[in-house]
Amino acid sequence: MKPEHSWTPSISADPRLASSVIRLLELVESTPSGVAGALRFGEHGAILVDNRKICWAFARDMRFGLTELLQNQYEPALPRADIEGVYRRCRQEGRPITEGLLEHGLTSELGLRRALSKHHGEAIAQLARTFTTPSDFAPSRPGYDVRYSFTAAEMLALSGANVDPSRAARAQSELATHLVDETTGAAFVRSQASSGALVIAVAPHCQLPLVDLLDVLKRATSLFDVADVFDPGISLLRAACCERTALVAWRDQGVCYAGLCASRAATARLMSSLSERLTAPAFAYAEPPRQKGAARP
Amino acid sequence: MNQRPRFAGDQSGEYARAPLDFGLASIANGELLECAVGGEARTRLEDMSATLPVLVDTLGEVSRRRLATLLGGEPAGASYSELVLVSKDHVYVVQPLQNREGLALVSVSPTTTSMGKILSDVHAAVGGLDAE
Repeated sequence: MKPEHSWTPSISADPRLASSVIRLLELVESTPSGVAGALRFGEHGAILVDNRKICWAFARDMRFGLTELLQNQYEPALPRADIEGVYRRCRQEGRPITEGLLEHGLTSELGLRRALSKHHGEAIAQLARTFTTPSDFAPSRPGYDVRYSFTAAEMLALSGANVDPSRAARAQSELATHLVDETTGAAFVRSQASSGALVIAVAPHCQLPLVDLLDVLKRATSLFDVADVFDPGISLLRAACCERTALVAWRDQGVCYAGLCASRAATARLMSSLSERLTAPAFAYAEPPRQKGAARP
Repeated sequence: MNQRPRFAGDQSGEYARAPLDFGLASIANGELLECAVGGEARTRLEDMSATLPVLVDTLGEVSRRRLATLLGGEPAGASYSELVLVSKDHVYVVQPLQNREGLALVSVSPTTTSMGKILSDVHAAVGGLDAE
């Protein structure tokens, strides 16, 4: 496989652009629940949505298309004609393109999801650059495979991950290691570009509305800031939301994590897992090592 | 808490308690109002208490209720707002008291290996104070 960071959506650290991306993703979340349709941005492009998840996005002036992304998943690159041939056959047969690509062994499920996320991320980045609002939301029949659709939180994290793909991959692995049933969560770093928190990884299928996710991440950061006043070594905290639910936040190597627990048992398991690691001799809260970006595994 | 609190962590008994020091602090101004211990433990409790107004406010009531709702919890019970903070060497617990508005039990333990015991002792202490 080729390193993939050479094909990443062009989200920049520009605060105005980051805010514009968030605004677009919040528009996706504001579409009617259970309804498929297109958020159309006139001549600039569109975001196709099914039940508030992003199924497809396109924009004018995209730097790369899905075909290029699929071609360049392999070394040497796949012949363009092979991929376009599958597109053609699927259209003739009225089948989803994703199905054809997998059937012909041109990509894997994971590879396809990665390629689609980058494609849609690039489209959303380009749409965000236009700072336009959608002209309408046109309902349509649902027809996309839910395996290849993305929540707003997932798409935001995929965009944020591009700032440092290797750090994002570590953060995703950290979430996978510690988050248990009945929890969801996200990893983030401080950033002036995105209202204080740049989301770099989220739990799979995280459905927390962006406005709430970003709010809780900012509050977790603030809690650590206040805790630093009396003990800068504090790297794990638990704040009860009610008798059952809680926010668990931790930080490691410059990355902050927030786990949202829907039950006392989930909170206990997450705290246990994290405090075991915290008290292990090898663990010490530290700033992140400076590493050059590497491809996601 | 001018006298040794009856829920002090190092009391002897059948149940081996975690080392734990307590104080009673004002959420409004961060003052440590009562504390039976001195030395480093007292300093830690004072320093933590001083941040209480901001600490408790940071995850405000509205935000906690909203999160509880999103997570399928019971926002009606959102006055339950325990905060636990863990470093490599210490566990801190802030527990606002239900029956003594504006006050919180603040606790610090110099061990992180007995989290369950620490929380049990804190809850027992809170129960005692709330019952007073």
